[in-house]
Amino acid sequence: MIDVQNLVKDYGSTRAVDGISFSVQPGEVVGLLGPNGAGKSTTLKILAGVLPSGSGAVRLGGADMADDSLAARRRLGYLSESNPLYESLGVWECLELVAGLQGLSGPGLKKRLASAAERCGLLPVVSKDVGELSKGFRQRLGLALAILHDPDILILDEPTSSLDPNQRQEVRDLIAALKQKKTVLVSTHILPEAQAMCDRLLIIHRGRIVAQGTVAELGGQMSEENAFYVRLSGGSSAEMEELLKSVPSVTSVVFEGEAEAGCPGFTVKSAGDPRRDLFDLAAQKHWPLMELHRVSATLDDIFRRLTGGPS
Amino acid sequence: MNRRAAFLVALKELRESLNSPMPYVFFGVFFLIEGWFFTAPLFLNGQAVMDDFFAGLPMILAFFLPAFTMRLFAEEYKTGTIESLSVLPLRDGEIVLGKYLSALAAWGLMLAASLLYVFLLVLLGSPDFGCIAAAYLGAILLGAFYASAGLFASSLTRSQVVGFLTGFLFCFFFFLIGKAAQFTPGWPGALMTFLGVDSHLSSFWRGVVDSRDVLYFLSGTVLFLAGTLASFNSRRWRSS
Repeated sequence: MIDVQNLVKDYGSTRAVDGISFSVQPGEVVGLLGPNGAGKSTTLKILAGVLPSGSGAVRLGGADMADDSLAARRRLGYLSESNPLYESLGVWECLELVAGLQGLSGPGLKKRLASAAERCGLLPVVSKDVGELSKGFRQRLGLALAILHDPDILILDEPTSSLDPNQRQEVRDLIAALKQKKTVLVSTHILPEAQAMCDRLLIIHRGRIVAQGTVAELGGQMSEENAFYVRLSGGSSAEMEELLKSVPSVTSVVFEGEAEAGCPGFTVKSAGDPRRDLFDLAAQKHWPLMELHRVSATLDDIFRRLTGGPS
Repeated sequence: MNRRAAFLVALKELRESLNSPMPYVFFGVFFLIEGWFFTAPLFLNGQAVMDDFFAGLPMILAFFLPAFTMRLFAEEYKTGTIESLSVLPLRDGEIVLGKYLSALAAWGLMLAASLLYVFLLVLLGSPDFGCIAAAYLGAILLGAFYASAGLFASSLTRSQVVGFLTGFLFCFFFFLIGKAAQFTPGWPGALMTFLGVDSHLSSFWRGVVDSRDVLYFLSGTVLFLAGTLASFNSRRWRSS
């Protein structure tokens, strides 16, 4: 598992990471979301041992990154955002080199390298030089290098950047297959991807975790304004809007159009929970209540609200 | 210290170097210059000796070894591949040693190619093998010393050009200070003589292996390697 306690990192007078704490359990894919400059890559670099932390503790599979860095790094597969590779080496040479430096050897090594290359879709370019690879294949090579020693923990910084939609799906499938046995921490700013790939999300802004949980939990947390969607039948939309506004706790009513003929829909915002009042109003007016549910914020809304973007 | 890891790092550096045209150019130019130093006494004076070949090394190597070592750290810093190395389960000492071994191996290959001259001398005359063996030992030690200086210079910067110029300055300093000592009286002159490579190589060139000279080169090498390790270690807090 990944265990991070009160991580702090300063660049001169700028605090890039400000007291971050979280943990990721085996079998879990956790997404680190945040706008550019939020501190995602710095956090991941500290976790991977590339950068030292100012204070705080990082444990990978129980090994402390500060006290037993070698043991921690042995458990780790890391794909950096910039994915630096040795341009003048061949793809196979690169795989052999990293396998050797990871301490892998023996008769099964070639098979293992071929398996990593196949898993990441590298077979068509395995005899090429790294410098000749397209961005997509470079990213796949970075992934293959991260997983070829079968680490317990994977830290992937923007693993699907530079990939086309098909390749993105392949990477998502690969991560889904890997997560059975591994602890995976992924950073991304592509929200639908985070939603599709991750079991849980950490939203980071200005070096702090501002929210965490599943998309549903985050949606619930963000729906504190009590927004409800209500669809009624049997009256005109103007009359319904007027009467909905007259419900005591309701603060605003927005007409959302007619999803089906004669059944206008409205988003109703209220100070408290207006559902009983809405039900009573519908009963009193003999308007069949076709639909009534709480409007959850989308991941997009959540992200924008938490990180200060336009809503 | 994991020797296999250091060996693999050295192999990586050699592969990367040999995949680029630079070492071949340097190899050609080195033997063009040294070929002149070898053939001039042979054909002009009719002497089967390698004195001029070895005498030219302190100046020529001050250029060629930093040219090989300049990319070893600077390129990794610039392209960011140092990050890829940093996440692997390697000690900093293994990385430094591996890179240093690759520079030594490159110098070893060049020296091995120069054995062709010894073969020619055997065909054309009767050279003093003891003298040549001692001179080769001196050349190995000089290369080891200069390579460590070049590696240290490369570890200080992200620019290969700056790495080369700094490495050249370090090596040239130890070459020049011995020459300048001739014009400096008293204890400063003695100190400069001691620091310069000339006074420690002359006995090797004469066929004498003096343990004090061996110690000079080894201690200089260890000092520069320790400096390289310290500089490489410091990359983490330097990037803070």
